[in-house]
Amino acid sequence: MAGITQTARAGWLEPAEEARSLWRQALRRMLRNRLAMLGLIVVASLVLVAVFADVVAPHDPNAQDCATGALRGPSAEHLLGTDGTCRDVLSRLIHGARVSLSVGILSQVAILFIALPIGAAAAMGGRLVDNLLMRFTDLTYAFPDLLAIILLRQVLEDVEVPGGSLMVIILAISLVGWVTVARLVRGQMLSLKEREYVAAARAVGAGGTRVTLVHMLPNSMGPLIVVLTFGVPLAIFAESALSFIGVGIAPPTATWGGMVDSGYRAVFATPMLVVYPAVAIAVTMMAFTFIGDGLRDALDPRTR
Amino acid sequence: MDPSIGSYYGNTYYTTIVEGGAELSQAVDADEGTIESLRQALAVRALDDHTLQVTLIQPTPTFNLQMSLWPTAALRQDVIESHGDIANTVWTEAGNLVASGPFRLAAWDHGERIVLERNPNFWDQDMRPTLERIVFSIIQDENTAYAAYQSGGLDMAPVPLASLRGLSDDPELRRVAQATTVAIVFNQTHPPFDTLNARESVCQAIDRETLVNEVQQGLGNPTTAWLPPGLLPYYDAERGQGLVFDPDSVQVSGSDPKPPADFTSSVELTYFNTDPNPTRAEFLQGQWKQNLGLSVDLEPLDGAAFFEAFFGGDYDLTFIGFTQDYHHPQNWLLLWTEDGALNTGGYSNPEYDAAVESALAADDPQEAVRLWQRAEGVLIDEDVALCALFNDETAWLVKPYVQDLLMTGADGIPGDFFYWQTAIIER
Amino acid sequence: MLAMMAFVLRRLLWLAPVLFFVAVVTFLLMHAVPGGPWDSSGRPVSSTLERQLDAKYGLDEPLWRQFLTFSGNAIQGDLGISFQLQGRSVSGIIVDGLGVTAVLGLFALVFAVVVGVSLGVLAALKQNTLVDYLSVTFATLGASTPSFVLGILLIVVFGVQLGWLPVFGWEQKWWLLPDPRQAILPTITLGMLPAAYLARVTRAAVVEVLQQDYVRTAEAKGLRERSILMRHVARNASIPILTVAGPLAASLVTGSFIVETVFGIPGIGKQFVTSVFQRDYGVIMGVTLFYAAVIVVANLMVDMMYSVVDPRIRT
Repeated sequence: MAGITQTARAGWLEPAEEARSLWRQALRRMLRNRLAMLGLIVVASLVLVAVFADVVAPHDPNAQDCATGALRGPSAEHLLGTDGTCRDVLSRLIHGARVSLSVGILSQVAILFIALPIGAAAAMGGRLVDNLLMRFTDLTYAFPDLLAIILLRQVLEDVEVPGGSLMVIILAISLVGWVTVARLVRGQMLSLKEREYVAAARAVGAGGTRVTLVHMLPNSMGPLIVVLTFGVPLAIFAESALSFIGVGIAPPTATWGGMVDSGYRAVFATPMLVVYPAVAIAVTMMAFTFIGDGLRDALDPRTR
Repeated sequence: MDPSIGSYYGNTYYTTIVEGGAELSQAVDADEGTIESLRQALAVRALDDHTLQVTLIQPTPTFNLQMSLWPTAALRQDVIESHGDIANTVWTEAGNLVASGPFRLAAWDHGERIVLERNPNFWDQDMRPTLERIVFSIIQDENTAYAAYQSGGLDMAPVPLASLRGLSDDPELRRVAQATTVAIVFNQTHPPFDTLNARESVCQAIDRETLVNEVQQGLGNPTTAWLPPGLLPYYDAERGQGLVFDPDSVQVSGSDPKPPADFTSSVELTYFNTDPNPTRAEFLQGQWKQNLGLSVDLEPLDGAAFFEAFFGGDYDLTFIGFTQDYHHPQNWLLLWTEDGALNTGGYSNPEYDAAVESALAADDPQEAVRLWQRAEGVLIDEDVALCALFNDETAWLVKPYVQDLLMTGADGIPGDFFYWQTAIIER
Repeated sequence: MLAMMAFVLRRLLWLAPVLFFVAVVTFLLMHAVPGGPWDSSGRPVSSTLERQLDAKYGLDEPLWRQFLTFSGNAIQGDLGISFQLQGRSVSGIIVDGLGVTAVLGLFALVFAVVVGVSLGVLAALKQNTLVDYLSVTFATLGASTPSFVLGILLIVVFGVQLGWLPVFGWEQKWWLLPDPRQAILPTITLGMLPAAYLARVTRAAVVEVLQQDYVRTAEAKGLRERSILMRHVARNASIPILTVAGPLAASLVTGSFIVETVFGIPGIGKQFVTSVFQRDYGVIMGVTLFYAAVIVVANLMVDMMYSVVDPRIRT
């Protein structure tokens, strides 16, 4: 018994000081992780490109260069060629970063904010809370996304949403996507709850909320981060699928998902039109994966 | 024409020419007794097993053309009624459908395939089909169909638009100009398109050459006329010359053009969101921005929503493609009269209606040509009720062993009018 | 055991309110979207004909009464008929499409679990080796390639270039197995994303468990490597895997519109999207309710399996 109590002591008795050093250590570990740093650099440069797209892009992404033509290969004027309506592919790729990163990151942030409290409450709260929340996730789950999104677009069409169709898409993706994450948080916490150190923390009298915050949240972050980093490109794809059924971000705004979709129509003639945005998405995803892995390793108190 | 059948084509194409047709078709709310007497009054009689007598309101040069359309195909009433009633589609399923063509419907797996088989009982010895079976594979994805053709799984398939340029020398490529005009329709009840000036400037701002040669990869032919070029002698090559895009006008107004004063409210382009319409719509949007300084919002709608919006007149701007059902200007120009079938944007000019009316009644063929041309002149040059963009074209790949596949300008599926003579030669 | 049965029973009773809620909302949404079942043909339907058709199919009634009629029939197992495929019952359409989709979904699930989990475990055991990097690359590529792009890539390579496999189609008589040659490409296309996803989640979970004190203790005690895996890793890592696999299984059964479209497969996913576009109200309601039931049952099974793999978890 004594040994277990000591483990618990190390874990929670001096939470403030403990947490501070924990974060400092995490930061140090993170900085030492080369892949994670690479990922951070990639994401940071993508964010910079997105923010300064107007300066970086050689052309107006919506300008139609009729003299050059449509689906033309690379040239000095258009380094990556032109798309199906005579627009500069490189400029659209650069401007697409803005929309696609917003969709990918903001939707995951929104999902985290919805799913974390709901999943945690389901795992930690009483049986009634758990049942209610989980049945509510069943309801949301059981609902056909396609119909919901088509309608959401129609309904919000007439409402002036700040950010326009971009915000609607982010909203739609998060409302549909939070359920999986909430269930993951719950499953993770249910399993952690029975682990030795949490049981030990409880045994020495730590309250429910405190146990959740100090021990279980950081410990359940691992799979959660993995799922959320996966969520970024998934959201970017969801946006592409939504363009596919005609409820995506309003044209002519350039998005990577939309570019993959329209490039697909010309896949036999100009396969590069699919490859460019697909590579952009893959690189973004790889970067988020490295960051996610790095964060998980860094936050894991056991890998000291 | 019978309101209980509710046939769209019956209503559109026959009620105006057959005596008693209009009365019958309009009697929708009448009691059964009245409808029955109107049915009796309809001037269509079967004199014997092989003779149909139809009394027309006035001499109608297009009568033979119209009688050869599919709504006049003979069907067995008792067979249809044995599967419920005609407003139900059960009678059209394979095994239920009894028709009189050279092929019969052997199988119809919805969304998957349609199989036609040679009709052994077909009456016309000269049109006995050579092929035993025709299988239509229903493939929604054009790329898949193209790959299936390349791998030998299909004998013919449409060419994905983007691949057209690379295939231009391919001996298996078959291109046929269609009797189809794609045109922008204005809603004249929505400002600013109630003014001629607004319609004209929107129409002049579109570079049709680039649309056809680049966006459509060379498929189709630019036009400013509503009638297709093959519709001789009615087609007038000078039609709509005032609406042609003039690149110099853009250069004069500078790189930052301002829209005419008429454009005070926001404008929306509504379209049926199916390939290749999104590309066309984005091109138009860019053209208006670039050449006119006009911001147009795109409103892509799925089929049900689009047709409800179009036929309900719920749009500012839209574009449609029309393919003729019969080879005559009457088919094209009746659509835009006050109560014309496609006139959902509130176009109304008594002068146009009168021109159409007099062309319909003209006895002298020369005079008729002049009057039909006069009507199209009012529609396009004087009123700019429509903004024609291009005449469409089909591009299909056909394996060399498919012989005598005769493709026309108004096919549903390329060659379907002449499947009876098509043959597969030794591979 | 008794507690388990009571639990299952309670959850199945939940099915009724869930289905009711889904039915009400779907019904309202579906009627709120512009365009009706007679608008998708591309021909104007005269207002009188529309009135006749509405009367014939009961669409002229107030919405609440239409809903009551639908619910009443649905409870008796009658989901009505399709507006677009007249003469076909909605249940018949679901059964036909499901036969195809379920077989394809099952193939894809097996592919995803076998490939995903084994890659994930392998990568975790051989952390930071070539095997690990290869599996991460696979997971990244698998998750960042849209299924239609992967599909056409497979079609071009194996169907057109090599000519080994058919490009499209799905011959299947009811629930019997399809032509295996036709099934290979769609199975890989549909299973790739879940496989990549499972590989990632599995790797993360196994790495996490491998670092737990009790596994290290067991290792220190000299238990053979394999039995450590069997006993601890498998059990604890299966929690996150199960959480993801449940909905995944449900989504595979409900079908993939894109994969079914690319490969010309007459499954329920394509049928559903078509029905939404055609405003085929009966089919929309029927398929939606069916989906909802499948998802609820799938989640129930996941919850049951939680307590099987880790009996300490209350369900």
